[in-house]
Amino acid sequence: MRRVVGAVVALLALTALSGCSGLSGTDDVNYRTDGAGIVQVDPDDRAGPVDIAGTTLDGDELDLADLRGGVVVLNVWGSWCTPCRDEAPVLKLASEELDAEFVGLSFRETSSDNARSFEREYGIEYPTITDEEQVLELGRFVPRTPPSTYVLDAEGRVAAVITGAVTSSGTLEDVVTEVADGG
Amino acid sequence: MTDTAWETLSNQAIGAAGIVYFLALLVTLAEWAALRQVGVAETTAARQQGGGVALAVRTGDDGEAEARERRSAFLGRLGTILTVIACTAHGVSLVGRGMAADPNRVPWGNMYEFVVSGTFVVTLIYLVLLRRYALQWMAPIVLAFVTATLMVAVIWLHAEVAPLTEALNSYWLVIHVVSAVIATGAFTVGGILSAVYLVKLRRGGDAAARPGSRVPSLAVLDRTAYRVHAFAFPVWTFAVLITGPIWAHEAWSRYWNWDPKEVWAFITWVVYAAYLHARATAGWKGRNAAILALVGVATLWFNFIGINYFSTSSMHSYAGGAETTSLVVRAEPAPLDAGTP
Amino acid sequence: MADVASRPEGHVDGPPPDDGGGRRPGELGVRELGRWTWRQVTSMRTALVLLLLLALAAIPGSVIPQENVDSLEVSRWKADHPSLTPVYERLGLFSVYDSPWFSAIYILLMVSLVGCIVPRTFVYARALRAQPPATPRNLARLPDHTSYTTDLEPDAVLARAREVLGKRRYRLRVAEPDGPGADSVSAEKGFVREAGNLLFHVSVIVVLVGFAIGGLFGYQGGVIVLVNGQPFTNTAASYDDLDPGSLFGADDFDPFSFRVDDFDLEWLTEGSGAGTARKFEAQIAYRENPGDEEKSYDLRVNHPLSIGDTDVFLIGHGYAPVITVRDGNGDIAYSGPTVFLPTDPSFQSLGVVKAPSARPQQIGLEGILYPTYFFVDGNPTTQFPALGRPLISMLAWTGDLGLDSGVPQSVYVLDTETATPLEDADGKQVRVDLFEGETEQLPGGLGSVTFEGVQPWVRVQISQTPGKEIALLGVVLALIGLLGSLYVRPRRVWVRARRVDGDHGSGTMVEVALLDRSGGADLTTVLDDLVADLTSAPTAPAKETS
Repeated sequence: MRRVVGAVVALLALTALSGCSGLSGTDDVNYRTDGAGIVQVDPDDRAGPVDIAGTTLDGDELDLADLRGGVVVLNVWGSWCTPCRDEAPVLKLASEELDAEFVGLSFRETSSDNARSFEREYGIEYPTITDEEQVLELGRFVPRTPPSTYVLDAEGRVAAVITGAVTSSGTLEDVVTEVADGG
Repeated sequence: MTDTAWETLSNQAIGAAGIVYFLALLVTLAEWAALRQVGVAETTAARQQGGGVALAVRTGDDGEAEARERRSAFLGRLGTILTVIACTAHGVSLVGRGMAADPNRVPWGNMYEFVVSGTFVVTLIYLVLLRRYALQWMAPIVLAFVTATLMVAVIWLHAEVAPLTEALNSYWLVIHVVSAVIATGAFTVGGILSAVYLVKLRRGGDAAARPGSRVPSLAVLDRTAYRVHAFAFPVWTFAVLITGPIWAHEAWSRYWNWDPKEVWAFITWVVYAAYLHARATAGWKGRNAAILALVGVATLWFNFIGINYFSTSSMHSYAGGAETTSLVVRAEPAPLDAGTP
Repeated sequence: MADVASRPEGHVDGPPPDDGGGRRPGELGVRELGRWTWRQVTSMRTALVLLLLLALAAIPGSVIPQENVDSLEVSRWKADHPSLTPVYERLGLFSVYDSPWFSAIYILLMVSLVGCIVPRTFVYARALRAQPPATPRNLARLPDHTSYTTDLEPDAVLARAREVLGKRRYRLRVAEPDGPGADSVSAEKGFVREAGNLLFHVSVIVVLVGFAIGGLFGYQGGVIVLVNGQPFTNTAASYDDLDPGSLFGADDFDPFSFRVDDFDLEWLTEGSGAGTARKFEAQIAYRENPGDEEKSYDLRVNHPLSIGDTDVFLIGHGYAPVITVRDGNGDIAYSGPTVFLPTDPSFQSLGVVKAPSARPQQIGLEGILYPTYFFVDGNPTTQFPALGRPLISMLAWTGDLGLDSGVPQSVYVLDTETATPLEDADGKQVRVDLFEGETEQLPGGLGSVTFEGVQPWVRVQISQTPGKEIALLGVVLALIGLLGSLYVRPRRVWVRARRVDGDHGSGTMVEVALLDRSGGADLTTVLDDLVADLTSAPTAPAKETS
């Protein structure tokens, strides 16, 4: 009985304390803005290959399965999202320099026109898939906040997740190299 | 009958009910006055008898007292009959409100209808308990309360018949509001009993009561008040803590949202819980318990009418200045967190 | 704490308070009794004070806007009361029900509650096993008693009493043929009252546990979804506002998605309800898991959709004007439905357009949508909330829209701090007033704005509320317990039969006494019924004497 009571009190005390959560709420803006963080997944712990496919902004069909065999960088972004603007130049540069296929996945975009205008502004050349439902294919790695960048290994499995803006190409380069080397 | 005819009927019935309530109030006040005279007459008679002075000579006075008593009894019956008539008209008015809407609906769509229903239940509970607890003595108080509240409703709260807003359009409306209104009526009757208890206690209790006064003893007042509260409290629990949250979950996705109306319903619940505990606690029973019952009834009616004008953020926004504000509209801008630092 | 009126009134100065058991009156030491009473009274008083404090502490939250109820209202309030805000923030007045002081009160109350139920459960368990108390020596001292004489033998009377009381489901004290209680029957009933009382208080804790589970493992989120727009995918990143429980993780979201294909509503055009809408209905196509077959559902107010553990509620609707901004190069810098937020029941709505990719200059628009525009008494107004004559009226900005500072921004707010008003030849800020289908050129060759049409949106609330069944069960049990503790009357009955030989001949003198331990009951009729039953035995014609 006492132990039950203790548990109840502890539970109540817990409710009073918030902020010890793995997930924060939306604060002052209308979407979540977790700070950048990198999670790398050990090769043995990686989930199955990610099956993302869909129509790109240019109207072509793209299937990530076709890109397996090399490292793929998947960037979930939206033209409306301020941190996405922040990282766009970094990603453009990285897409030109790194030995990896870059693919975008537009997220909460109200029209393709806006996404195109964003790509025009930053000169982004790599394709972006517009089927938003595809993010659910990421399974337990679904984005916590836009932008989220995924590094997929040669088998198409999620090897690393960068939550929040990628602000330096060095970070991305390190991760891509490591994944390419089988790490 | 057309909808307009029903609405007219409803308006006329509520007017008639108000007038008859007022007449009943006058009659029962006259009854009180008559009783007071009976009391005085009896006192004098008793003194004279006690003094041993010419008993036979006083038969005239006794006859007079008897006549007065008869008159008061007649007035009491008349008052009850008038109350029944008024209550019937009151009920007809409510039915009319429901029938006037297209599609027909329960008459609980806005503040006016809630108040009319609440007062109807107050009268109804009084009439139902009249025999059982010998409540005739409290007729003027109940009638004064009902008449005054109805006046407020008709003058300030009256709104034309309108269809239910979408959020109210649920069978939970029937269950939730019926129980809440019944509890409100019962709590109000209980509150009146507790108020009379306090007044009587202040005036010196049973010992100082006028002979012939029909206000029951303190013990009976306290007991009757407790019984009415003991009926109302579970009903209130059902309304506020069971049906309310279930409906809130259906409509707003949160079963408990700390909405001002919910907060005050919770406050009322806590106060009445305290009342029930107080009645069993030495040093709290009697006077303090009665005070708690009055606090409870105050929070109840404040929640019923007041909070709608006081707080802007209630989702129970069927009331208030802008009758057109539907719950759905209100709920919109709220969660968008538009403020930037 | 907590006996809902179960202690007898006049407990102290009433008849000997023998608590169950075969204890004799007076056996409990005076000091012990005093200490026990004192403890009872103090704990109950504490509980009472705490209850009242709880009621008092709940008040501020109903007056001051609350963060988790209406955060927009909170921001507004803060803006209006800059000097009070820091004080209120310190006191936690913007989230009263999570504040330490509010929690302190209810935790204390729970401690007091538990401190009361535990010992009382033991007392109750003992009382259940105990026998009804021995018959007091002088039954005439009890407030409700009566007596009569009969020709029956005392044993026959007592046997009849046992039968009658047994039928009424009284528990009888085991007969002691040679003991001091041999001439009487002692019976007791109404144990359910205390059981109800205990159940009620335990249930309060159950409710709180359910509530806490919801707070810890559940979440609430809201999002605006365009009708015929992109589907909603259930991830942490998809919400406009999200309020997760402390133990709710980002990967706990059910992986469903849905699309809003159509939205119908009916505007009332006459009567006092004119201008309100009814019959909201959003046609939804959803998938429970990626790759699953699509199912459809008509989402309506009061009719949520349950997908797995998650519930989806329709709670609002509004308009999203489709606006296209062409920049100075003739490229489309922005085009698409733009969610405008209604500011009042007339559905006059506010919104912004941000076209940061426009060249040579960024373009921002901020303004109002009038669903049915009319110019009345020198003021632009909307006559009706439905889309009769939609007009957008927006002020134009240019320069730095603040989107490149790296600071996250709400899509519903235009940061005009660093932006500059776009001015026309007269130096006045450009206002773009457009009916559906119209286009206006911006000065300085910056481009043009076109109002293409209006697309509706719906606002849905999505939540997981684990523990809601526990909370519901708790309240229902509490209500059942409450009914027991309020309406079951614990009663004791004693019947004593003695042979008397008096002037008027000999007979059996029967005394009946009744005690209602809940107090507040009128026992006269109960007593009369009981006596009538006792004397109505077919073989026992009785004559009552009092």
